[in-house]
Amino acid sequence: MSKGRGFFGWLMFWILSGQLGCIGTAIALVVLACIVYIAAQIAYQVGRVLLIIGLLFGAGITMRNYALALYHNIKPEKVTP
Amino acid sequence: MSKVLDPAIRSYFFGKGYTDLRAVIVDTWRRNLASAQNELTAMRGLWPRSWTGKGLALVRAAAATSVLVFGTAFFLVASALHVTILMTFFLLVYLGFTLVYLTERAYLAWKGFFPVCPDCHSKNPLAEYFCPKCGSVHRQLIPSSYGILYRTCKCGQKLPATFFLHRGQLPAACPDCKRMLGDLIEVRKIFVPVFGGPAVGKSSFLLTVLRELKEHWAPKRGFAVTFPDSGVDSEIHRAWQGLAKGLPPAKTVTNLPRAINAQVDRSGQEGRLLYLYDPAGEAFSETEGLQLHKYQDYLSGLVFLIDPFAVPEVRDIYADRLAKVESALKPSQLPAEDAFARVLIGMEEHFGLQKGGRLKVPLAVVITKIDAFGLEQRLGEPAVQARLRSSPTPEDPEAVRNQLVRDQLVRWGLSDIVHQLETRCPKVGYFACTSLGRMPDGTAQPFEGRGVLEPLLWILETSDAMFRAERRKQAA
Repeated sequence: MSKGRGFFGWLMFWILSGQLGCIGTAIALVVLACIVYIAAQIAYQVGRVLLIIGLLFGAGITMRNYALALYHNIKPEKVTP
Repeated sequence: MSKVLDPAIRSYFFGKGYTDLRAVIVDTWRRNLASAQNELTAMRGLWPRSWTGKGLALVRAAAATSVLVFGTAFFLVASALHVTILMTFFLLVYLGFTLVYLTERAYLAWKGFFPVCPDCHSKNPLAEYFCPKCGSVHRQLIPSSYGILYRTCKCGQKLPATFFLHRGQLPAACPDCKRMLGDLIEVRKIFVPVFGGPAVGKSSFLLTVLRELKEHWAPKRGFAVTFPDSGVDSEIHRAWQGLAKGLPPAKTVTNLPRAINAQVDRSGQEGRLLYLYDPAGEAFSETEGLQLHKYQDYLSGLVFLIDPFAVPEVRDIYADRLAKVESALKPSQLPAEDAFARVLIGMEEHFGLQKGGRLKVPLAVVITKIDAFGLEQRLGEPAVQARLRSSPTPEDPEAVRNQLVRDQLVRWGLSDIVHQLETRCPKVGYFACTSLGRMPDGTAQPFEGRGVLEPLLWILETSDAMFRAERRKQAA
């Protein structure tokens, strides 16, 4: 796993080189599929969390905006002594 | 309840609440757009960077979307809630001031309290009130959208908006003639006009009635009688001083106003404002009618004065002696029948009395000038006492006096007028009095009236619970 190729590079190299034989290739493909699935899951979950954080952040902004609008605009009528 | 704009601060839920709501909606929307814009700008800055930057850009993009989508939904729901709260309070306040207003109107109507101008005599449901701090005029100081129980003047002064919170203590003016009203704006008014032909002695009668009321009747019962109009007060006192020096009051055309307001009150008790009105003896001119018309709603009773020396039969009886005292006695030139006919015509034209209809208020028929030729011994208190003493069974002095005077009128040939009086009026009381106590003879001997207060008291006791209760208390 030298720099520039990485784990996926080595795995693809071994699969495509045909040196693993039939069973080895099959196992390598399964391992690849698992890795891809786990990576996709992690990305999905991270993305989802980030999305939720973003949405909550937006909701917070909205409520802050409403609170500020209330604070700045709702005032009793002034008297002129 | 009213479209009159007063210089007061309207309830939040009737005015500013909706301006504020609009401002909140506009401001929220503006802020949301700006926030979304900020988030999108931040996202664009973060996206080309590392994976962390892309993650953060995702967060900002989600935030921008959330601000736009969730923000719109949230502010729609919040605005709906805001409107609901405003409308709920609007309805509660509306219900509140309507209830208080209606209760106040019902109470004032039941008690017969309403502002009456002592000058132009206009009856209005409401006076114009002044803010004691800045002097602004509040033309509709009632429970309203300006406040249920109190309102705040533009100057910040809190003003009571209802009778129940002593609104009547504020400075007030007549809405018609703008004259300042006294402090008895919201009290029961009693109007008693005194009718009779010219020279029947109305001015003397009124002056003596007021003196008897103020100096004899009121002090014994813990009441105080005052004259709210400062000019009138001095004129009345000057006239009383004249009577005390044996000077008869001049004819009606003096400085003394034709309508005299007397405030009758006792501490801790609701007062009364008594209006005694002296229409010109020459009867009803158009102006007179209009003047009287204003009293229509609070007429409590009528006093009808009869000058016995205007009756032909009486003039015949005393023909030999009358000539000598004619100038002092000043008999009225208008026969009683004509004077009463004019009263009825005036009442029909200006007082809502239907043709041939019956007066709803008590009428006191008063024979005046009984100090002359010993009439007092036949009609006055001595005659009543003599009748009571001679009666084998106890009799009611009032009934005896009624009978005595009525019989005398019939004997004098006034049976037609007696019949007419009793047909048109359900309650007639007969009285006899002398307003001056003696004929004017140029001496300084004081004039002392007798029997003048009884007709007025009878009317007051018949038409007003306070005077009725006072009588019962005295009788007990």
